[in-house]
Amino acid sequence: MRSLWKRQVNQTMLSKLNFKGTGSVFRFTLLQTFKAKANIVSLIFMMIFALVFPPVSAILNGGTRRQAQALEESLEQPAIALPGLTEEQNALLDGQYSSESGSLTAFMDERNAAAAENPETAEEGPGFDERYFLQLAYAIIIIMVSIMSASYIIRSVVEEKSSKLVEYMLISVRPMALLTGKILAVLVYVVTLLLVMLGAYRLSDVLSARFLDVTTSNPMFDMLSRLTGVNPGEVVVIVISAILGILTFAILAGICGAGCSTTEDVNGANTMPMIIIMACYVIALMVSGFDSPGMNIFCSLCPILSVFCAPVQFMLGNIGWPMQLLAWVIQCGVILLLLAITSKVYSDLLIYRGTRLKFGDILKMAFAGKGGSRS
Amino acid sequence: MSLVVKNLTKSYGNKVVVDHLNFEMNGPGVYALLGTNGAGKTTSIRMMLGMLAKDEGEVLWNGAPLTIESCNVGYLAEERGLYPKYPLMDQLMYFAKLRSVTGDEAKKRIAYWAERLELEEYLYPGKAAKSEESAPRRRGFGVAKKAKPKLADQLSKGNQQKIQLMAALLSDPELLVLDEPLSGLDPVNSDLFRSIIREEIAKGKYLIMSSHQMETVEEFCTDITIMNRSKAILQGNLNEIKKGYGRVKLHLKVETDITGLIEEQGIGIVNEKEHEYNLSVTGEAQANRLLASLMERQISIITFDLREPSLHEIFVEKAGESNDAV
Repeated sequence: MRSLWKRQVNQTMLSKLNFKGTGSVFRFTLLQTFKAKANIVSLIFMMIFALVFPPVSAILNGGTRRQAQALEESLEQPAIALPGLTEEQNALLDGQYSSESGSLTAFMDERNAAAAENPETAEEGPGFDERYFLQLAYAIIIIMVSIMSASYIIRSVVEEKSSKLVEYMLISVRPMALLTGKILAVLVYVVTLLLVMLGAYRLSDVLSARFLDVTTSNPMFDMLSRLTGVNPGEVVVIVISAILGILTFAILAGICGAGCSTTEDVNGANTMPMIIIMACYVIALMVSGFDSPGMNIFCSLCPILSVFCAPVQFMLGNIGWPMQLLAWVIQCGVILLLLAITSKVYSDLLIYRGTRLKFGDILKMAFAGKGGSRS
Repeated sequence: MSLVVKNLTKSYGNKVVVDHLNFEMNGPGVYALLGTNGAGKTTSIRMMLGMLAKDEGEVLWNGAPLTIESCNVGYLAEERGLYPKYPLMDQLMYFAKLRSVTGDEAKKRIAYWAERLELEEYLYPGKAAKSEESAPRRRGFGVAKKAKPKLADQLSKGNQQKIQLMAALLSDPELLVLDEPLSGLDPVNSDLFRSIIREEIAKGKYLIMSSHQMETVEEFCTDITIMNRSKAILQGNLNEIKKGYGRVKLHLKVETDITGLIEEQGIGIVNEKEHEYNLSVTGEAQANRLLASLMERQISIITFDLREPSLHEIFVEKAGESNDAV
């Protein structure tokens, strides 16, 4: 049984021959993706949005230090004079509030330093705000890249099918190479888009703080700032988790796209990956509210959901490297399973013409032994 | 080199779409896969080229399974297309690269086929623009507008088909599979395609052709398989098949009505129009008897053409017989 599985794996999935030509497909798809006007416009729009967002959002939230100081001073004298307060009473009032503005990251750093100095008085674990907003910021990035990559893949697969090019392509390159090349190209495009956005955001945030004396004051944007200034270990965790997530959703999207015959079917094909992505996003935000070790481990290890949760739990210190590695191994298992399904049916799906096949139909096809890899 | 197709079988659920198809090509030439709509020709081709998993059977090229790696195949699919929004040259370079033809060699081959297929103005719009140097310059600046690369959706259907044929020929394939190569072409381009097919035959290539245009098949093919309802109902060398039928088709044109005489001799009339008859005779003896009767009655004969049945006639007869048997 095991040798049969091994043979099947070798023949259908991991054989080098199945991926011959991936590089050519990747380069061509990437070049055309970057050349497409719509994609260039998206890239520029996202960059401008990321550049403009920090100062505008800070100003809209009243986050300029100079303005805050001036406002405070201008209000202080009338505030004392009008009710006839004494100097002592005023000092007492001053002691009860503070106009100091600061980021949540700085607050957490201070708290962590204090905890290190005096472990007995330290609070237990991160607070709700920290958990929730870090999860929100990270989940927004992941949902964005996942949805973008899934829809790009579906569009790309359907475009090839509807243009009736697939048959010609299949005598030059194997189906798995065709899909892998596309996924990698989309991955590079989406990651570039993400890096451009985060880079622009970070740059804008730093420049705003330095030259305009403006800082973001919303906790979620503090967390976004934190995500753009994470330490190398966290970078590794975020990047690997994001790539595994994008790969998972991209393969799923590839299968769904191959079940379509015309561009009119694209919306229908988008439904299933979008539902899964949205469900993971919502669950990730919900579980971030619970600070229970059991829940933290569950959401970090649960396949697909772990893409949204594990890196955040790692950054919050709720799980360590072993748990994170285990989450990756499980996610890799999911990817291999999806690849196995894909390799069984993808070739037949590419040639299929007719009403859109739903994911359930495709699974039935795979498990009924229909279709199969090419000899 | 040889191509062997053994027991090729495919079914979807309970429906058998290709039922134990067998044929061989032991030398260069053109093999025709003919059949009614839905007979299983395209499915057979897809299985042969490894696009579709086969339920049973094997396809051997020089004794080894035919794969992307073992055989350099060129394929003009029945359902053909191009990326509508990508530049044509980018697409052709990509297709060439996928077939392991890279760099200068790919450019050289594209240039050759662009000239041969009269597609230069679409593939090299810059050249076309240069050759029109006398054309009026852009108003005021004296700078010629840079020619934009052509996209596939800017081409007519016939020109797109030429690009697809070019893509199929770019790798200089050993085995060329043409599924309905002439469908949708105007007579000029149809002749252009025919001349290219003839050239490929002369180069010693192996060609498999599927077509509903029997005259085209008859023009090129040496061997045929006629399929109907998933099964091969007639196979072999086209000349041998025709000889097997004998000279049983008589085209006769006379100056008077001879319907009574024809019926008197027990000859079947396939069709008639103003003293012009297409007849089905049992053989040369029956035809000679009719000729003798005509001469005896001193009926002027304009045409008396006794011949073997055409491929079209064989196809219609065989497909009809097969359907009647079901």
